[in-house]
Amino acid sequence: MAVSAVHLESDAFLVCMNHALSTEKEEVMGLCIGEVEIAKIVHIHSVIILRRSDKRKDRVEISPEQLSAASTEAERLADMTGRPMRVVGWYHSHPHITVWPSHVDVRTQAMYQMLDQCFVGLIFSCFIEDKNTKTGRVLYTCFQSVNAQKGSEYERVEIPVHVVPREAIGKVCLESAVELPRILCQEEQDTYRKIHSLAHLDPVTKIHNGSVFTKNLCSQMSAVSGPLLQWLEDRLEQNKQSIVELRQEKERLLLELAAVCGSKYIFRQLPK
Amino acid sequence: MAEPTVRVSGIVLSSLVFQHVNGDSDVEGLILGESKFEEQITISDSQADNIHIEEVYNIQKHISCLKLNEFYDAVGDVNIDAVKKILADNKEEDVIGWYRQRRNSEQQMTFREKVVHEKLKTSLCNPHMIFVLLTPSRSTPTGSTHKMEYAAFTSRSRLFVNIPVLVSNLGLLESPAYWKASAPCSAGGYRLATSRYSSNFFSSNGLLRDVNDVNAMSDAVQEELQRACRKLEESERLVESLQNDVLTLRRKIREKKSEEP
Repeated sequence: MAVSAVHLESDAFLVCMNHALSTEKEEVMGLCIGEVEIAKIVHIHSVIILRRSDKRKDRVEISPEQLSAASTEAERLADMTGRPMRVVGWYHSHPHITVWPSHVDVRTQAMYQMLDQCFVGLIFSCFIEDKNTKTGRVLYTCFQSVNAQKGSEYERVEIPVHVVPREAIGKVCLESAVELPRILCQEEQDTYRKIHSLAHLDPVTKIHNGSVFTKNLCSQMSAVSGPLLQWLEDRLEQNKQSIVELRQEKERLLLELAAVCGSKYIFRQLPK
Repeated sequence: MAEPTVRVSGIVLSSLVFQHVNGDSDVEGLILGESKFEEQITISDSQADNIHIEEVYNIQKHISCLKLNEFYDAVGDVNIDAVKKILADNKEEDVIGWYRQRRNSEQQMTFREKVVHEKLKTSLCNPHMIFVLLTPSRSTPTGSTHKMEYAAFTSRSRLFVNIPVLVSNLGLLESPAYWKASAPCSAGGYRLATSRYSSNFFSSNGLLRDVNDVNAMSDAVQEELQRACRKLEESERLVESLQNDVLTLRRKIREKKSEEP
């Protein structure tokens, strides 16, 4: 097996989860940036949220342009961190459906593995609810593809995935998180631009389309941007509180260290 | 009575999961937000007027406790001073419940959690509170697939019932379709009337005024997001740095103490 395990930093996991939970109407996707370590462990440090050009069900392919842009971003991260970063995988969501990859997903994964045998796939299944117990569920899985023994061309291989604790959120992951509202807005602006440029639309149609655009942008601000901004501000407030407490603790410890060092000095001075 | 609902945004639910994966033990804390109770009357020909109360609990944020059992003791009695300390500058009236994350556990409240819940309701003088339970577990022996289950509970006459948790997302909001062609209408009067008022809607660049305005508003929101992101990033680095300093100092103190005769 090319990959023995995947280590996913918890702040990258946060970005993936938030992206997956942003909509239950369609699958979302992105790319994973990281490095392959000794013992064939793929370490994912951050993710890049992608736009989907084809929003049909189960069509989560990544265009060559997107892969190229992601590679450029990986190089930027490599410069920033001093570590050999590259695109190491992809993730996408399965709203309301099983976490297991479809045969299309397995084939897509196999295609990526032809370029890089360590390329991994992550799937986040969300918006699942047990109607009887009213329990909600989010699942995530990691997989690669291998040639099937018989029958279909490829089959899934399970790859163990561990979320690596990281209490503080990294700069790159924070920037990725706030990219989501910008990408959603751009998608809507592009769609509207295409519609608005159609010829022979009468004023009533144009007014309707403008209202649809306004409504959709308001939905994005209300459902995605607003809560994200609230979360950023709330976390900042919590950090400010933590900073005060940590500074007090540091002062206390400095005094304690000085006392311990002072007492050692006295011990040395005392006659034996 | 209509079924109560808990609503939470994707980022807050993700943040709860994020907090848990960063620790070895169970995690608990307080939930802040807004609870709304609205009377709704449905009238139909087939039955008499039906009045029901719609209960909606909107979770806006969570505050984690530094350790377990921070605001209650062994018998479940709540320490209101500890609750206030956890809340810091947040208001007590914004507390709509509390949560706990337990690994590899069943989606059921323990007896102690039920006791704490009832006592928290009394201490905060809020008869309508929720308890959110998150239970992550491994789904496959290889560790390739993991599951996080979540549910909310509330008590009615000391009986605990499950409430569905709805994750607010774009998919819940209606998205009307764009029109790609105009409905054919050759009536002169129609064209005259619509043309007369169309200039009210369009600006000089040919776009609708509303479209220009909402674009500007969206840009302003994006700027705020970027600003908040930069401020948060600075604070994350400072917290990280201070945590490292504290750990280093503790290690030095231990080493110095162990060197003492």
